Amino acid sequence: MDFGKVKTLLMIVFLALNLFLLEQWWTLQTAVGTYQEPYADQLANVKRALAQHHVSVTANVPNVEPILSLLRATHLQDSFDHVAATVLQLPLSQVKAHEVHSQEVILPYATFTENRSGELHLSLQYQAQTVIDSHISALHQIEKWAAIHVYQFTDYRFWGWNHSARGITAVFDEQYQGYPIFHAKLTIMIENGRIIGFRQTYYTVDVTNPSRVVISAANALLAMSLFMDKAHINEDNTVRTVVLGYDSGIQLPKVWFLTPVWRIYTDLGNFEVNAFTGEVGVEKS
Amino acid sequence: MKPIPQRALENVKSVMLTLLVVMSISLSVIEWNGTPGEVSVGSSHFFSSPLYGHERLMTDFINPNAIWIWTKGNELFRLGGKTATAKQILSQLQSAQIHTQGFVHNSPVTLPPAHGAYLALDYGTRLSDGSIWSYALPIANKTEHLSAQGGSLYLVQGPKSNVWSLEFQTAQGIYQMQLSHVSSNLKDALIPNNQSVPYAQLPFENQVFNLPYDAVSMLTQTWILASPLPIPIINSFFRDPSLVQTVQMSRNETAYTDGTHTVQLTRHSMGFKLSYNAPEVLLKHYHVSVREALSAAIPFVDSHGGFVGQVVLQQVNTTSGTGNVQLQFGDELNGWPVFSQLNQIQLDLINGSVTKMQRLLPYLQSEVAQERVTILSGAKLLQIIKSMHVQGVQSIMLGYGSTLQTLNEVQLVPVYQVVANNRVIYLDAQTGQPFQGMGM
Repeated sequence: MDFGKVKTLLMIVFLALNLFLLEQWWTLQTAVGTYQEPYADQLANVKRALAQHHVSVTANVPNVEPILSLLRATHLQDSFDHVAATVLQLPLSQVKAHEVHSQEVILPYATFTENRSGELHLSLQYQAQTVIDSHISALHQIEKWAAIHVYQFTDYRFWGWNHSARGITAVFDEQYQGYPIFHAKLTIMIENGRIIGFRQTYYTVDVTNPSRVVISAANALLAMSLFMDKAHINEDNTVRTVVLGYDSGIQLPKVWFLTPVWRIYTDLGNFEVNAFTGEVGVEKS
Repeated sequence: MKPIPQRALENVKSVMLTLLVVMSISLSVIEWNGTPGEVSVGSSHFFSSPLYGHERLMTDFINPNAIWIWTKGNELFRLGGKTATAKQILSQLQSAQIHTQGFVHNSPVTLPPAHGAYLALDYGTRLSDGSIWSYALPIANKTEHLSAQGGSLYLVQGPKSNVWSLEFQTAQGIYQMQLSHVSSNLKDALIPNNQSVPYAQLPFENQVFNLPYDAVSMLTQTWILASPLPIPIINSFFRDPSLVQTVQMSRNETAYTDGTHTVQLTRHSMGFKLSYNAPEVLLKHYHVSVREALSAAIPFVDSHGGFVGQVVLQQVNTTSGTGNVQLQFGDELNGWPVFSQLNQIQLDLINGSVTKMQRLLPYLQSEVAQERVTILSGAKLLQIIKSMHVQGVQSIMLGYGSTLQTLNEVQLVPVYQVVANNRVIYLDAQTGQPFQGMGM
């Protein structure tokens, strides 16, 4: 057989092989297409799984899967004196003059402290309390006051109101790139229409490597459903809110590592699903 | 029309053939790499760690600390909980059947029995929960509601050789089981043999302590210490080790965390000590028994380094109403407890999940030398304790302490553990001098 005929034969064989491989490739693409279940269907399946545990979902479940990282968090970078000067609106030299000990400033009209776990606490005497005008939006007035008196207030976003027998508190969460840090809270206390002080936890955060895509909120709810299976939780319950943010289950001295979590607010308590690993935790109540 | 020259045609065919070959290779590679894998919610497993010891069954851990023999002649002997005679006693009870059982109301039964010979199986705190009865004593598998207080189960022979009575103290009173079809050889256990150590009940500070009657012969052993690499076992505690961040806490302490779990490595005289912490899962209605906690703890340890040596369950502490169970596993040597932290594992479980684990990474790998030594009798020990003005003595126990011989050799030495005013001191069992061990 001459070489030209061999080439013709090989061309026919490879043409057939390529047609077969193309067909296989097309089948694979179609399979991948059907494999990626629409988010709405995923969510419907998760809601069915939760319904078996007597859990209904009224929350608006977000459809986002951003790329996030672990955050390294430490307490205040600025000195306590510097923070106290900002909060009390005093020159730094006057703060030092009134200093009782390194973590407490007592003035005739206010007391400002930082406790061992880094929480700041301002308590105002009657004459220093700001009156809230009932004719204007209370939140607007509180935010205006906080912008002057609260350390790094621009990093916080309003979360909601808490009502108690003593009064009302406006609750804010510290944000990192638009996601709340659940344990860095600012609560501004209001009694009888006056701002009487605040409690604040502030973290200074740095991003750590590596970054990766978080699991979806639907998958977080599915992880919660599997956890309920394991823990035999079958009480009537309703999922009210699902929020992506940062939190840490572990505290090391002086430093924390905050991991992205899906926080699931339910009537019987809050669940936190690690948005990287799918591990489920229950918030201490 | 001018015909295409043959040579040009062949060139075109060559180019086309080359293209077809390249295309087929490319398509094959695309398909090989493009096959979708299984998608899952995070990772459902911990990474596995090297197994330094061997996998164990639940029944391997639940042996008596010791069996006490009180003879007809009012002599006391101690048998190690894992000696051949102790195993025979437990196996002879397996054929037994419960004839009657219930609380003792109108009978002058006292514990320990006031008259005659008996065997006392000392289980320490392990039967306080009641859920591991069936592992300790398979015939008593229907007494899970009973909490044995005081730790000892007393076996008293009845009128016939195959009839025995099993008695123990509960919060509601003394519980008694009449056993029939007991192996007739069990009565031989009441006669001491070469595995039993003569003991005496010696009074001290208005209390009575069980201590060796005379100078007992024990072994001092030298073991090679194995020091496994920490990183594989650290990684086993994380779902995704690539997320782990390292924090140097101090010169001797490093922490590894993924924001949810933490493993701390502390440099110890013997090597690294590992402490694992996980968040507590607090569920009000979800409390587990000691058996359930143990059945969660054993596979957890198996997948994080495993059990080494002849480890047994030494202590169980439960906090009622919180779902909190603390388990302590420790080693035994020739029937005596090893007081060293070597081979010891401590676990805290809440609602069936392990929240804390502590262990030394180095472990006793193989014995290389031994020497027979004679230790102080109980009476002499009490004289020494008195001369040292130690007060408020709560317990005295004979066992082994550890001391580092060379960088990778550990000597296990007989020591007396004295608990006084909730403080633990160790005395060298040969000399009575305070024992400055390592890893204790």
